[in-house]
Amino acid sequence: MKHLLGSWTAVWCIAFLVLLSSPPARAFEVQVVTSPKGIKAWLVESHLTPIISMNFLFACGAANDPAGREGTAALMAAMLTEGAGELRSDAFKAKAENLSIGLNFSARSDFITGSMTTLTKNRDAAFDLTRMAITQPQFTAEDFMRIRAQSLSSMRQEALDQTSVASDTWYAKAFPGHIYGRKAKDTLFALENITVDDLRAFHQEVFSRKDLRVAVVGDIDAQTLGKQLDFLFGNLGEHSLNESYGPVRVASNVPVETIDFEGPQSAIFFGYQGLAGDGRQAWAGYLAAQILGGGAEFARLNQLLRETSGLTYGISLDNRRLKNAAFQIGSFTTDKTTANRALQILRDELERFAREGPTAEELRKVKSFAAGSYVLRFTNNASIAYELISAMEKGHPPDFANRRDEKIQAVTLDDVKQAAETMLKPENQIIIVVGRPL
Amino acid sequence: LIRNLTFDNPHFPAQVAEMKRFFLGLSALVGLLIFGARLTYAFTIPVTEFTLDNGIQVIVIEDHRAPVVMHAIGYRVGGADEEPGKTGLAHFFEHLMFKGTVRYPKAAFSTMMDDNGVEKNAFTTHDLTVYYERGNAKLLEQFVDLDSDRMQNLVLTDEIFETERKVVQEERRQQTESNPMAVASEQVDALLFKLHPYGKPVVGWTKDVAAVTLKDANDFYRQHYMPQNAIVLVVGDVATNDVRKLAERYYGPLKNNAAPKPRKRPDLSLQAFPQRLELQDGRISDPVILRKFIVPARDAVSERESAAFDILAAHLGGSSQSRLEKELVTGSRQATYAGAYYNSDALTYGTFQIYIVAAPASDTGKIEKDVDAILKSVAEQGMTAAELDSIKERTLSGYIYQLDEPVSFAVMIGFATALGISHENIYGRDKTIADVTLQDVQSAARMLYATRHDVTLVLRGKP
Repeated sequence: MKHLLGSWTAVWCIAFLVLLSSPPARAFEVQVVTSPKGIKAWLVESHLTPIISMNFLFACGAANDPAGREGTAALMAAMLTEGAGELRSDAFKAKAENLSIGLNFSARSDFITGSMTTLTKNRDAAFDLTRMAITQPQFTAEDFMRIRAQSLSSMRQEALDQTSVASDTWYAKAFPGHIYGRKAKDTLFALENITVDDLRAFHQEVFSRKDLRVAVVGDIDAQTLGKQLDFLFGNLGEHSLNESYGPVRVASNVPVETIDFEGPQSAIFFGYQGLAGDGRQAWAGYLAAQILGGGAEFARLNQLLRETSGLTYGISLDNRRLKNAAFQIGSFTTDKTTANRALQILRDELERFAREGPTAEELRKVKSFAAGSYVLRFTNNASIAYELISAMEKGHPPDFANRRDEKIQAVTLDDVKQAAETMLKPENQIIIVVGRPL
Repeated sequence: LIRNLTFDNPHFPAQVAEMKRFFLGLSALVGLLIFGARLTYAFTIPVTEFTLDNGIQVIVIEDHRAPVVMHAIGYRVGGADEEPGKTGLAHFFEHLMFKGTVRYPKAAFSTMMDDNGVEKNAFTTHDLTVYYERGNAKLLEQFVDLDSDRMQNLVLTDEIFETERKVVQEERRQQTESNPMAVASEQVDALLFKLHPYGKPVVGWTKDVAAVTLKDANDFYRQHYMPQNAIVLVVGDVATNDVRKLAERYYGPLKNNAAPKPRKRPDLSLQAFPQRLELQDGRISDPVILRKFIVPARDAVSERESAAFDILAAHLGGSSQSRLEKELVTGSRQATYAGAYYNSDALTYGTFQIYIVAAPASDTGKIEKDVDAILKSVAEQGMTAAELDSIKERTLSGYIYQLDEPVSFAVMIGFATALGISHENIYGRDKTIADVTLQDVQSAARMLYATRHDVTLVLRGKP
């Protein structure tokens, strides 16, 4: 660790070295930059390309939507780039397009995310547009009507999409009454009630720099970034929000839900409560999901449902961690005439895995796969910026990438067996089938 | 927009999305090189190209930012090279390329990939089949070894073949039949290209995929998989000289067992156009209008003419300043989305498409009339010099972003090379863009508006 202290500007910076796999050893440095107003950002400085990528997270989201106004956060995020400061929507977007500046905002349950990319030569204009979008959005009624119509259009289409219906239903069954279980249909209904005044209220009362997280990669130094941080975010409020939703567990004893749907296939979603935290048990849970349905070819469900039987084009199982929940969710599609057989194979395998756990060889393979594939996430600025902000979202320290392999290597066979037994109890499984099996 | 691009494996969604974004992104003209002394911007991505005695072409880009390498091999064969009645064979065969050889049986191949966390996948288009691996840079020799081995030594059994047929059938059901826009798009291509091979879906018609045999697959393999038909791309933390030595050692000894077939696509009868197709599907909410034109591919016209179609696409759709967006989305509010896209990566015949999602209460007939009027206006009055300059500037800036994505850049070079675009034209694309005149863009618009070799699809939900 080293100290880069610019006392005269009061931008503070502490650096952490992150080692990519070796040999050949390669490293990058995560600097923690603190602005004069105390806004922190992680920076990976790289002058090899004349490009700056920035990702940021605001600690508010759809969870803070007012009741009966579901979709407010999403519409507000979409409206930030529809005119800001002095610039009307068309002028704002034309300026960004003509300078090849990428600027996007979107809302998730717990966060509003933003991203900005620019060429170094347009840096000041890029930061200026970003600042205007964040602090001075216009929210004109005319633009609002158009953006809302676009949102409604894409949500109507999503409501007719087989995979979206299956996913939506899974979340609704897993998290009833919680923001994570909110159905797109509910939002679709509420969108009609939202007005620009709701967006303004959300922007003033909810949108804030409390717990703001910022990750920057590319052609900029710590001093310059430090000053920009205040310029970008310094004028936002810092109010604390009441937690609308707290930690939640995936529901249990939910019967299999089958929904009629036209088309040749059944879309199947399955999942269950996962293991929270960053400890050995949580990592054992991650490895269990990888052995069952991760990206490696040896993954059990891939072998059983694709490689040896041809029942599906692909099956995957993800370990997900949201701010207030930890769970695993998987999905595949198969012909309606083979869906019952595929479901039986799936259930049998989950049960067998809960009983027996993985083999020592599977654990060795999955650790090897995890170590080898991790470096592929750090090949360019855009992907490094994404990894940084994901780590910040989960509350990991700046040298997260070094610690990950240690944590994975420390997991034992017994840990994974125990994790599998805990997670895969039949009464904890939620299975949704969209497209009735024949 | 729908593009006929079919992957082997749905895993690694991020990377697949990235590759897809790259291929679709050509509409915005992101993806070409600024090179050497002709630079508008002061930078280079150094590229080395060489050809071995047996005809295999190798393209190397060094990128030392991370200890990672991508190795890809593309074959000049795709869905349009299939015999009548064998649609889907090129893509089906691509799946079979992962099934192992005598030296590296399936289990050994997969273990090597899994133990090293390698990302591997493949995709097939009408004209190309591409396989790639991404992993730690120290694995390059193993990638070269495995890919040179499976070019000619694949071992297939009936059991392997029949199981994989089911996977491919599920792929078609998932990617095409469960997606109403994909189903409709398949019909548009069939109507647009009629008996020309571009009218067949790359994934194949259901009946053909059910009927193809192991013998067909083995014949296809012998006919098309050979060094003269192959292009190798290596991008990453490698020394070019080491790549050359590995290529000579592993790819060098491979023999051409037959002369590759000439790749002239048949002539198309461009009569009885324009045509219309009205379809209904219960899985569609707001009406979709797709107008797809046949226009020259990049190999069939001058670079300036094909670049003019790219600029026309950017002028019509895809940004807040584009004509369709300004008039139909932000202006009259008849639509919620409007885009345009030129696919130049084909042999002889490319396509130009306009894609619109109508607002629920809109009259689609009125939207079509407005689209006609916009095309007429560009054909007759062109665009302004300021509009042209702005698109050129955005295009050239887009090239700089390629510096962060050398893999996409390499794939672009590989595609263009495989489709017969000359070295000079590939690396001089920035100069070509700068040279495009207002007249060039107007001529491109006139070709769309006056000749009307197009099919218009209106796809609606069921009441």
